[in-house]
Amino acid sequence: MTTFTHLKVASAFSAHYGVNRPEQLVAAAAALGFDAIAITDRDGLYGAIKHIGACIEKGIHPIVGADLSVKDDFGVVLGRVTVLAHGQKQGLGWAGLCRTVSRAHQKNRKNDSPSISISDLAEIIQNSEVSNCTVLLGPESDIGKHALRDPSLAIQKAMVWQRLFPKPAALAIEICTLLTEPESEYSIEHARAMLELAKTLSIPAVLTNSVRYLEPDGAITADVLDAARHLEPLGIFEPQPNAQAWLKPARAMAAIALEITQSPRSAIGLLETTERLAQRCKLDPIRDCGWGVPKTPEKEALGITGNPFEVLWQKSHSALEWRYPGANAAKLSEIQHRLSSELITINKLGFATYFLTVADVAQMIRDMGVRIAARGSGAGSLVNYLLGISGVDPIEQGLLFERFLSTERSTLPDIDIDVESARRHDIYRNIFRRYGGQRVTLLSMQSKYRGRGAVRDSGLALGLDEDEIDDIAKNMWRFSARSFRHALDEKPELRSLAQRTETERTLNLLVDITERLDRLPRHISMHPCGVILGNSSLLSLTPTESSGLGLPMSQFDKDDMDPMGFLKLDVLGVRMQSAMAYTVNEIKRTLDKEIDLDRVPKDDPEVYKLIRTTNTLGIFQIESPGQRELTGKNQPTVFNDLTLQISLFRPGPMKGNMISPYLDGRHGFIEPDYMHPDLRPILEETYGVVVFHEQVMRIMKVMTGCTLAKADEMRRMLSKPNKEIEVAKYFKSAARARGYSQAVIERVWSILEGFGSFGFCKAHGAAFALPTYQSAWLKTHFPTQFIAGLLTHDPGMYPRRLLLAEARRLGVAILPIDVNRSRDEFYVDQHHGKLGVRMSLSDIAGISIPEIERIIENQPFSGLGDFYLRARPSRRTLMRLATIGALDQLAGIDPTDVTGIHSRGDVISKVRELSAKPAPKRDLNQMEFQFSFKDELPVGSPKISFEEQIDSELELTGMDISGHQLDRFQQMLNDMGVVRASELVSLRSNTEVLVAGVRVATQTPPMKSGKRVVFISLDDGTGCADATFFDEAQRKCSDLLFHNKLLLIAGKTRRTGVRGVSILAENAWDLGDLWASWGSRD
Amino acid sequence: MLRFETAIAVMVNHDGEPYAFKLANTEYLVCSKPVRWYSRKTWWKEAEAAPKGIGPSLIEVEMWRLWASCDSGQALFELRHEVHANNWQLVQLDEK
Repeated sequence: MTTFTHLKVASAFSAHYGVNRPEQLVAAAAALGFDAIAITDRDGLYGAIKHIGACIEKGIHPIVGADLSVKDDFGVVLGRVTVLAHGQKQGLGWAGLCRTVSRAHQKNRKNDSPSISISDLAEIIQNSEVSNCTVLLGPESDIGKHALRDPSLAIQKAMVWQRLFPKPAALAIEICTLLTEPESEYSIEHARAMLELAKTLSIPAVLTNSVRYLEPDGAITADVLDAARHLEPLGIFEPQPNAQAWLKPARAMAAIALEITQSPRSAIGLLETTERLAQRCKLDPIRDCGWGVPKTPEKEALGITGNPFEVLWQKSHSALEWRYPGANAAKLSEIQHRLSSELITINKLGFATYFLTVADVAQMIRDMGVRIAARGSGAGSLVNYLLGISGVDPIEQGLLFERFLSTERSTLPDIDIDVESARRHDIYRNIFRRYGGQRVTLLSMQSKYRGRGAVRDSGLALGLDEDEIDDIAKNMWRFSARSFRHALDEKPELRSLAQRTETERTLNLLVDITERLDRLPRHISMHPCGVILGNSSLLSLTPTESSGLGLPMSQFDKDDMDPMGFLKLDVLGVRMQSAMAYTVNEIKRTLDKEIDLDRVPKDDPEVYKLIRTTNTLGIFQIESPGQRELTGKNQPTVFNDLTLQISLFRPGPMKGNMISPYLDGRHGFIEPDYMHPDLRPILEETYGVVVFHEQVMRIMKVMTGCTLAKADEMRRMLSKPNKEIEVAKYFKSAARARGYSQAVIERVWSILEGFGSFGFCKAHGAAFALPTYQSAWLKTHFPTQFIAGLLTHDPGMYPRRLLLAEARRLGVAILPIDVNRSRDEFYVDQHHGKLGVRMSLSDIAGISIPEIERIIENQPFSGLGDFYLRARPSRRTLMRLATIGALDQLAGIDPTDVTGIHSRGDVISKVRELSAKPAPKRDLNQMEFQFSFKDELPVGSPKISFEEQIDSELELTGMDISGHQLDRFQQMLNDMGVVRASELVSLRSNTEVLVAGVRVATQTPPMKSGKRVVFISLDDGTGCADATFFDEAQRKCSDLLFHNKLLLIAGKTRRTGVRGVSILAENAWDLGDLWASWGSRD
Repeated sequence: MLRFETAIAVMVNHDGEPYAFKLANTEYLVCSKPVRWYSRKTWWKEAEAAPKGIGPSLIEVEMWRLWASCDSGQALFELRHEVHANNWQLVQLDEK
């Protein structure tokens, strides 16, 4: 019986080309009875690991190749070929393929598309006695392009290939027909001509169907992807010929073979050669690709000799004195005991090298003088604390090692490290330097089509007007492209679009094809934090390409790391860490005070007092509207309260409705229910509510007598419905055996059962709470320096202008942009003997980096002419600097002095006059002379009003620097009786109010009911007012729900806690519209 | 060579190959092995909707190229077959 194997299959990881995910293709192949299937994505192995994983799961053989462009030695593109790796060769085929792909991505120029030269390809795949890969020369190759019209030229081209690829199995001719119009590309005749050529030159011929989609229906999606690739609407470029490039079953492929050859014998011959090549290319995942085998740097690369475990033992023991100075004997023995049990586990799992590697990287980062903090479950490990990987004491915080690592699991643990974002790239470069380019690559990620991107590309394909698409995209808010049709029925802001789809055909089509694009990979980019550290054979195991950073990145993504046994280190840039480092430097510079943030006491009452006011803007993790509200209710007084608050404000606990019982217990409204005296020590900190993974583990341990490692395994099983029964059985019988009553067992079980995936890892919460506390500490004691740090490194979720409003509220002086004082950072400067934050040059729209550099290098300037001559700003920048007042000081005017002779209007006139002439040449003394006496200002130019000033600041810097943009409406707001945000806290619940302000945040968090709720936060200069819009209110103001900036909101106050107030919105209006009609009132 | 689009009635054998059709009251018999191929349509200009799973009828059309004869002689024909709706159209006629 004849079988068949598809050797050319593009998955969706061929961006803007393939339609189906590898998992779908493999599942279909298995269902069709194929015993192997290839993945041959364009330009890379992006989907290869998912393909192999799916093949293992379905029990069929994986084959992997890549569809690559090949050029001649002069750089002229010859065409596209498919390179297939040979299997069962101890990885030689896989390595050849990886290195081929990496070479194709080595570019001479930045915008070169990936392509490999024919001689490089020949050299890489034929580096042993036989070839390690087979090159398929098909219809898209230089041979295929000529085969039909000029067979003798095709033969000449083929002979070039034969000469360069003499080794056995290096070449095959790919026969493929898509049953197109006779005599055209991909027609039966084309396939026949290729077969003829193969016979003439005695090159093996194999049959493919050049698959792009699983089923013919996918061809429509492929059309749209083609449009996205060409960046042109459908109908402009040559489209695919038909819908034949699907995963056809074996009998259909046999029929095609027969139609090409017209002879059963030749048809069978063609199918047999195809099978022979398939056989050769079947990969052994473990032996060929190193599937699942952990890979860590060699000892030499880490600079250690001897047994890695002994080194780890030594290192962690010798750090005891550093981390626990003066600990008493009892404490020390507790620590020693914990350390030994952690080390035993690490040794059993053989992960000593892994820990040493991470510790080595952490040490390297600290040696660079960069702030570092661990995040995630890794903070639960004492070894991590002792090695300096984490800064949280797991014993003091009650964190468990077993949540992080246990003998019950054998996958490499995740240790995530947070560093200063501004130094992240330096760190990456140092990691490459330290371990060598052959052991390190960055991690990549595939960005996928989501709502807006999908609708944009679909609109492009259909040739819709760009502005129209923008309008539609703007209203695509928090739903996936896949549910576009559904959203049309549900969302008020899409109502008018929904109506139009009923009559406008193209818009209706737009909805369908947008849904088709949902979640397809779009393009690869650098992962924001992942670094892969391997041994010296890393580059034979993963293909790499250039990242935006210039360093190579793997074509595999984070989900491919575990299957491939790669050690991935997350070095995450956290802007708050940079902001804090900057703040500490500014404190040193301006006050000459040394601050060691990691050693400030964590029980400063002033810090908690500040947090309790809910003015948490700029404080890590607790500045969002929701966290602010929770802060008002929770009123933290100690460090653990912060850990708790951060852990509670997560989708899980929110969905699981854990917050209110916790708060009720905390404020004494209810008596905490611990279910059994044994559980009281575990649940006391959360008033009887099970919040943490660690608590579940401890409950399991106490009630069943199992180890914590086993308890963590069971905790994981709780979130898997089919495994839950097993846990229930064990828990109930073991607890009964230990004497717990049936009633207690049932109660506890019902809590654990409901816990599922709701809880949070306490180690993670505690790791986050540390920078939360540290940033609050800085805000409390050094607000000026802290605001400078925040502005410079821009952490947080709000627009920068809100930080200015907060600074004004705190009494921190905002010093305007001044070409003689401003730099490219926001720094603490003196003004009239008082410290303030000097605004930076970098936020001026359109200013270039060289312009900024020239200004800073040449400071100070003696006058306008001097500035124009030496800083050489563009005309546009010069005008902008004048408009926002950055030249005021230089020109000697004071904008606040209304009686002065000159105004900013005069500066603007002068600048206009200066820049009307051709730009001055650089080095002529004469020029200097010319300008020096012309520095005086004209008089009598129109004055700039305060409103105009604020408008130009907003337009040119995005910030209202001189005052708050709401100030101009004050008269109207007073007339209307609008309440200020700071006054809300003094109002009774259910008071009818109007609030006004600038929108600073819009959120639609997941809700237990599944209904959408929109939260809008407004800033009015006194603080933030948070309003909640439910269905009815959303309908009333659907047009301005997501875009208008200045809003007036009507609603009722809702008290949520001691200092928590929010507004239940009833309606909203655009403030500008109101202003216009207020201005024209009688 | 003439190009036009006329709906016609076509008789097919059990493999789906046309063997006879009627055009302007004249009966034609297919007298060569018909060649089948697949052409495409510009669905973005015509379709009302393109939901997932609508199938290839939106994009693809079956084509037949064949010689057929009648009393007055032989000609090369091209037939267009909408498989889903089972519509046949004569699209091209090349009289020798």
